[in-house]
Amino acid sequence: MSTSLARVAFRSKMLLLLGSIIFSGTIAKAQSIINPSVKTSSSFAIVIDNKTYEAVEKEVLAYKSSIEADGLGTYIISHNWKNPEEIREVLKKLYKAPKSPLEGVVFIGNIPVPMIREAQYLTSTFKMVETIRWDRSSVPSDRFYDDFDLQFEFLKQDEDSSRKNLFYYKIKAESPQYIEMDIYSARIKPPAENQQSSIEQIRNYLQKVVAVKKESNPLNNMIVSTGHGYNSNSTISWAGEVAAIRTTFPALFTKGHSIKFLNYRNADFMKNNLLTELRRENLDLAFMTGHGTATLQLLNGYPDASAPQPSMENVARYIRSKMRNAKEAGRNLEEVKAGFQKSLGLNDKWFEDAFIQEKIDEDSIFNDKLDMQTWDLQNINARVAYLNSCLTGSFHLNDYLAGYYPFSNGKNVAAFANSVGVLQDLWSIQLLGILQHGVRVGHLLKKTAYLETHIMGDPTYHFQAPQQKYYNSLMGSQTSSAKEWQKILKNGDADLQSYALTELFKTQPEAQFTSQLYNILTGHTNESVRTQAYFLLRRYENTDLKKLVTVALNDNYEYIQRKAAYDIAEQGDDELFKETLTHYINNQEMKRVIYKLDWSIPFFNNTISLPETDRLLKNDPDNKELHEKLTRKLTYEKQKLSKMEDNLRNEKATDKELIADLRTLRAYRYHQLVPAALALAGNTKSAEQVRVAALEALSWFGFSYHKQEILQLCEKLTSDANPAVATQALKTIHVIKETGRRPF
Amino acid sequence: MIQKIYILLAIFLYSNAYAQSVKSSFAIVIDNEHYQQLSKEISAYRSILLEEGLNVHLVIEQDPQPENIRQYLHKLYTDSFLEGAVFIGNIPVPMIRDAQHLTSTFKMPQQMDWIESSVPSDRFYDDFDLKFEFIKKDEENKLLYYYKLLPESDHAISMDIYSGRIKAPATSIDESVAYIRKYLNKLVSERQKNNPLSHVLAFTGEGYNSNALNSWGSLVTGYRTQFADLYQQPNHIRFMNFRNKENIKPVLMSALKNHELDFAYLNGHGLPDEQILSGHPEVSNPQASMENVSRYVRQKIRETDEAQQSERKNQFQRILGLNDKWFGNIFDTTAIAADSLYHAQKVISIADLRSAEINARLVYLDACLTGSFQLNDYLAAHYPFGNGQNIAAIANSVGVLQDLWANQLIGLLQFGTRVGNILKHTAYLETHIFGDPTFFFNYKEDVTVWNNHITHNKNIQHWKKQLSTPHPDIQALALTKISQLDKKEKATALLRNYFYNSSLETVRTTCFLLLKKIQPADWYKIVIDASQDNFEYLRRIAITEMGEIGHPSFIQPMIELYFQDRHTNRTVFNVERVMLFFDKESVLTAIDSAAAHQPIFDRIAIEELKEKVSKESFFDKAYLDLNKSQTTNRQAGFAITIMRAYRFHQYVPVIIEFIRSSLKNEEQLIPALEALSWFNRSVQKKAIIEVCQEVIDSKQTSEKARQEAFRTKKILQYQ
Repeated sequence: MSTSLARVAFRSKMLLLLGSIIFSGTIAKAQSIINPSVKTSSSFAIVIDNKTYEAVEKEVLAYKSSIEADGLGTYIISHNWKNPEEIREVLKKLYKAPKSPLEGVVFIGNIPVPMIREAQYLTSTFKMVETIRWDRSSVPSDRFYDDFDLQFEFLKQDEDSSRKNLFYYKIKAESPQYIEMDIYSARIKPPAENQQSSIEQIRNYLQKVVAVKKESNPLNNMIVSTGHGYNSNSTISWAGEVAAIRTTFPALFTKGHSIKFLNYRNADFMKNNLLTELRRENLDLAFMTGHGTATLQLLNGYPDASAPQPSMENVARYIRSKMRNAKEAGRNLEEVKAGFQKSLGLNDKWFEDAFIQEKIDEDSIFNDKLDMQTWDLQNINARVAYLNSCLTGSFHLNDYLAGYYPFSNGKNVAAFANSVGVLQDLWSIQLLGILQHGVRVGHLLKKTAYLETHIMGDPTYHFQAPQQKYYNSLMGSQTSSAKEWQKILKNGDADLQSYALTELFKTQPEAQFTSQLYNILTGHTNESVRTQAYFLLRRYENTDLKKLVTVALNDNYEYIQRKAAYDIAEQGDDELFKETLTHYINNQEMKRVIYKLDWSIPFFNNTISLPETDRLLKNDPDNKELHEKLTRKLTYEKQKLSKMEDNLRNEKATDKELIADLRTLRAYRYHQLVPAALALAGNTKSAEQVRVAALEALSWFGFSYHKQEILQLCEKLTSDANPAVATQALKTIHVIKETGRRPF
Repeated sequence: MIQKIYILLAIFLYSNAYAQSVKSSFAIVIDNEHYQQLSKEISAYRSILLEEGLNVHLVIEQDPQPENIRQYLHKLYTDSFLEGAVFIGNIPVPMIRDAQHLTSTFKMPQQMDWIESSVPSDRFYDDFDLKFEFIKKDEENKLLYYYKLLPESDHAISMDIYSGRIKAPATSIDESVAYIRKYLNKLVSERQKNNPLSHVLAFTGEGYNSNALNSWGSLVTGYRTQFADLYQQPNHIRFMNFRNKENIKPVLMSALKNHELDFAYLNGHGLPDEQILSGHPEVSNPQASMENVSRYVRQKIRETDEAQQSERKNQFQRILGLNDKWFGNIFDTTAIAADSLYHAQKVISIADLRSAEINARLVYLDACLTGSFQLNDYLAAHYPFGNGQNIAAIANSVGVLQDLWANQLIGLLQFGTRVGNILKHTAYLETHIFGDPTFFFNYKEDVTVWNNHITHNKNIQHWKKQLSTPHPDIQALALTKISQLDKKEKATALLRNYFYNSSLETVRTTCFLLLKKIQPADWYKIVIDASQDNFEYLRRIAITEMGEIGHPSFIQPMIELYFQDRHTNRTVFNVERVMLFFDKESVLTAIDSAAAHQPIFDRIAIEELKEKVSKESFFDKAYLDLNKSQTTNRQAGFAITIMRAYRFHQYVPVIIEFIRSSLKNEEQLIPALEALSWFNRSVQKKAIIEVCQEVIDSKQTSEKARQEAFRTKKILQYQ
């Protein structure tokens, strides 16, 4: 039985077991529960800690009423929560309830934060070495609460007195190894230093939410912003997104509505424009892409320039900052200065004011203006903000940027944000268009979240739209019919169709649906529907990935090409090389696709890639430079690979060295090294930690042309005498088989 | 003398009743010298057109004279359903003067060299409502004939037929014949292939439209609906711009060489012999910044006289804070060669096109000057006359406005529309097709019928039916036709409806441009509403229109837009330029009002804008001083000349006062009257017409000045 089938069976069983549970005033003795006061087809839960509840009971009740007035029966469950399991159990039961099952939850106040380990493949890109401090190398994730099929093993509670709220878990080997949320969730957790501040902010927020939700506010004003340094600063990537949004939000492009595209290239300090927009009373949705930290949204770099004067100003800023760093580090300033004067050809002019206080202040103000600071986030009126950035949603910390959106004194209700680093190339605008149909923001999260993706604020919030009731009920239902989704696929707009595909995928026979999805991928007019078809096709365990990426590489939507470039690297098959290289040669303007292909090309077998590069480029005078660059790169990679292989096969190598090389495979798909890693994993004489590291590294090769060899070995090793090896082998099997179910 | 050869055609069966009633015709106009050597190729070309159902008039000129050709084409247009013409070989080039208002932006003072200050234009041949007067033939280039546009002429272009030029970049007749022979052979071969429009490229070069990303974005969103079918496989649509790679040229060149490429829209600055693709890289990291600075320094020092080089070096070192590193090798031959090579990577030159096979069948060069066909050699010609499969290039004979509408009707290409039929609806005085204007991409339906409708169908109901098609450019064409054919009130109502309600940005923009021609009573409101549209291009031109009119009701919306649209650099650029044409106090009040209710985060920007408005500029000073006795002729000349490009409506009374006091001073009076001819949509229009009448009626003024006043009056009265 495949893992996915096992998962379906598990779900059915649980439904039967829970069929007879009837809820009364309390679920567990120690938890206080207030039942919904309206009967609705699905329900929602407010989970709150006792202390906060006592302080803001009135506001919570008002919040409950406002959700119920909107057609969603709501529980309030308060408790002095001891650990995440308590909450998960309650939610699971409510989800399995035969009547009015749970569709979503919000966590208010001091709710335990699950910190997930050994599940980095469930994130979009997070790959921190887990030997680093646990509060940094674990992923704060409410998927613990909203995806009931995932199975976790408790590791520990954080020992630090300031971090007692963090609970560490690892994912079990036998767990499903992909995310498919059962309910949506969100956090109402203000950035606060102490409980009193937290309570005050929650009170204000809840009062605001109740008021804002009374507005009759359709989604008709939106901004999309792009910060510096994202997606290789590719304007083609940007244009692809613009064209896609043109089709997913067509109404916004008509009179009386507004959509604005902000970009770091529009201004030296984009922050000025962005904050003006975010504070605009009528702004509904702000979709913001850019780098981030827990307390910053990075917007601009030093201004791009080609004219002499601004160029020198950039150089001067750089010099001053380097000189100050040098002073701080206690280096010889004259030597540092001489070095810069030689390398950059400068006289004394730019060094003179490096340590003048006025200049230091000026530079500091300049740098401050480049980024969004937490203190800038006041009066934010964009009702929903989407922070497509790393780390801004680090809700395990007391202070985190995303929290400043809902907890500002503006009308913002919810901010999507990520608790750890996030992949630049994820499909960021996936299904975003459903929001214009009055769909609760939680439904968007439910379909698109990685381990790190969260909503800060009220997940039941939705914009006003004529058919909001219908769509919310359909998306909140556990028993929607395929017929209904077929109807939407036929009549809905781009993202509704896209959504319908995700539902039909669950019920339609694979062969028939594969053919339908291919027709969509090659023939549908809308970028987002084609992209969805691509992602669904790659979910089938036995899909012909070579065929799929070849089709995708020729799509007119830059994002699909980019994603194909990723999957080509994951696949690595010799037969794909010619197509890949030809695409690389012919599409040099597509900076981000080229960046990904530059990354992917070395993963091919160099006995194929080097001669093919020669064949296609050697006699092409227009591409002389490209030929030289590629040859240099491939030759270097060949040597590097050969060295790595020698190391992996070197019996005298230390465990530490072997593990370091194996770790490289987690991010780099050197398919040619798989046999060496297999040898290490299978070698009973190797140290346990080396064998486990090898098996873990191999779990990242789920699309590799070596997949079957890896699975064969893992099957064998599931009965290995060493339990750690056997467990990891089992986990690797699951992770590999479910590769397609993880978008990245 | 014109020798006329009518070629009678076999009867063709048209696929619908309308087409059967029309036998559209086309004229091949060629000088005898070329014809004698190219009769076989011309015959083959003609056969293709005949097969397509066109009547073909072969017009062989023994001694080509512009007026004769024009008259003959006009006759064919009147009598024989002429839809277009192509000029092959040495057909006179009309050099048009006193008609800069018919160009998109050309404003060169006409006292400059006539070859440069006149506009080479075949509108002489294809727009029969324009009225010209012959001035002279060029003394050196016997092909150039200077004409001026008469005051009593129409003052807007409305082409009756389309036209194209097959004029080789050649210095001798033999070279020209060889080029044209090669081209016609290729043309005949290409025209026999079935080639629908399936591959499109749009490239944008450096320095255009303030390098505004959102201006480029409007091209992209426009194309997204105009070429919707190209976004599906196996079709291909590709966008490229100077930011995509430091050295974009090889990428662009290889794209243009692609045999599958059908249409390439190439936007950027241009010269008669160069297309400018990119500038120095926009960077912020130190090493690359220094490379930019060093290239600048080397270039400047090389341009400096030897005696001043040392001083210049010192100056650079002082201002830019450089040591000797960047000055060591300036005159090394290797450094010079490297810089020259570097520059060559930034442009497409004639030499590049000579050695490349450009296979893009149709190229639109939205750039200045590349179509300078008054010259023997000009860049655009090297597309059709090159070695590749290119058939036609659209290009401009003089400088062109950056804010031209790249999207206009261009989607019609995919329905088998002859290139000439697109030119006919979009051309300025300077816009031309080099190559065969009858060229079209194949389409699943009968293209002859389709083109017959475009050229000859005046049935309003037919065009109203076309409005139900989902395609934006068919809708746009239909609206264009209806606005020409229907009663003004009805057409206005329809256009207004589409302007406010169409979900397609290019349709809304078309309506705006058509309503602008009609000038309905609520035009000012339409302009204000256009400034709030979601299509950046429409906002941009709405601002330009506000500037052209100068009505106080625009001030507040314009300032509101300034603060709402800070991210669209070209709109902001246009507002900053245009706001100077309004009363300062009112603008300052509007800024305060906007600042009071808009949540503008950057308060400094508000103050900066106010300062920019309130300070007395050198423009202000020029007008405030104009009527003072101590003002020199030169100073007065400056104030007057500036009016040609800047619509200082508030200073029109000053100019009028100046005119009244300069009635006897022809030298000052004529430029002042001419400058006011640019205010044809101004709120001051009535006052200008009045003063023109005063001049016309004046006994003190010279005949020449009276004529200028008459001209200005006629331009302002034209609608």
